[in-house]
Amino acid sequence: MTAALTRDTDHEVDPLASHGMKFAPGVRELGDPVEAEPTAPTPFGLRWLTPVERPTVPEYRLDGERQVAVDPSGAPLAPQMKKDWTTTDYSTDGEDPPSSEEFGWEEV
Amino acid sequence: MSVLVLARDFDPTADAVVERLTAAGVKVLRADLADFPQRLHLDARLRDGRWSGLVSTEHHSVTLDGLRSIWYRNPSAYSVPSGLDAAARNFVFREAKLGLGGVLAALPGVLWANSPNRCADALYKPYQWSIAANCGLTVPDTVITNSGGVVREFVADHPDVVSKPLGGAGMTSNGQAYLSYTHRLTTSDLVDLDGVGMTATTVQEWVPKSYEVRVTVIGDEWFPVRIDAGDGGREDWRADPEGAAYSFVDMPKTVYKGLADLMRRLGLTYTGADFIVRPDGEWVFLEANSGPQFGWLETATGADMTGAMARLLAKGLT
Repeated sequence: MTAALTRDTDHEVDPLASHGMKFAPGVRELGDPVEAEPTAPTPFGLRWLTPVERPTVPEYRLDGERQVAVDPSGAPLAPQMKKDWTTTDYSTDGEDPPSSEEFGWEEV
Repeated sequence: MSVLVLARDFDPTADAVVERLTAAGVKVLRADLADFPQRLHLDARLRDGRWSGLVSTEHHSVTLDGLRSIWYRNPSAYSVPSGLDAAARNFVFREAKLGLGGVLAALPGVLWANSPNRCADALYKPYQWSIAANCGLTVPDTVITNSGGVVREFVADHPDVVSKPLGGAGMTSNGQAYLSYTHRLTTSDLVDLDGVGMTATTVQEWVPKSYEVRVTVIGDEWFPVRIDAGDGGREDWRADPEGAAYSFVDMPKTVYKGLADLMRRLGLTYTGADFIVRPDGEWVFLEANSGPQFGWLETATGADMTGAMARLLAKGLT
């Protein structure tokens, strides 16, 4: 059996036994989206949602040679980044679509 | 020896680490899984039980048997060529995952930061909490149920409780982004519990806090950072990040040992572990993130976390 061993880990990991495959059906398998019914109870954990603004992603492209994001003039983007919320789809194993979104406080 | 960085194109932290590795003369290939199969190329051959070959982009390539480390930095999903029906889309997605992912996972002697399968394990907080307690860490009493009656029983024993999601705190509905912060439940919140039955609902005892701590561990380098919440973040510091203050803090040896053991048990090479420190000084474990952000903490404290990640990836398992 092949195994992916991570640092300081003494347990073998079956590389093909992804939990994403075994346990978590993608949202696409849950059927087509439907309009919310006013009579349906709001899931308890969704009662206290706070609306947030998505950050504006600056104009950029990945410089394939340097392998970093650059602005239209070719200057690396990172030093220009200001503190801002970032929103990323959180995917543990490349699920399609990702299982959830993570919002992080990110800057460089 | 070389390093593979799997990250999205727009990722300032990945940029910083890639630049640090490049400056150190380490051969790096950075790609997003969404580049596969159109712009990321795989040539993997199994001979005598060992995989060899190349992973390459237009500009860079790394050999499979020369890979020292893989940084699995929240890449996006594999792309699917256009013009396919749903069944064919599922097929090409699954084959990409099992093919590219399977080959990478099969490479011996490669350090993963972190292995996607280990991340998948760690995503289950109930699993984390159980192991954390076994590792000697203090974990809050918790109930997960789809019964409102069970929630009432729990509240009877723990009058001060919070609601928190088990998954990511973010979601989007009708184009609007939302965050679901930890919410301290009031008496009025507990009047109508119909929503408890809609799914697994998690309620946890409220932990009185003196301050919070994010412990970022990157290989052998530890960065425990105290977070003093701002006025708007007393229940969840993330609600008021502008008002939060950051400083280094010493970790109790028992917490250090417990977290190190937890990481070993979860198979995590790096993590961002969250704690609440109670007024009596007890450290209470909340969760260990398997793909934490750290750029914001680096800026706030001056800790060289980018350098730590570059050093970890360059060193690998050696």
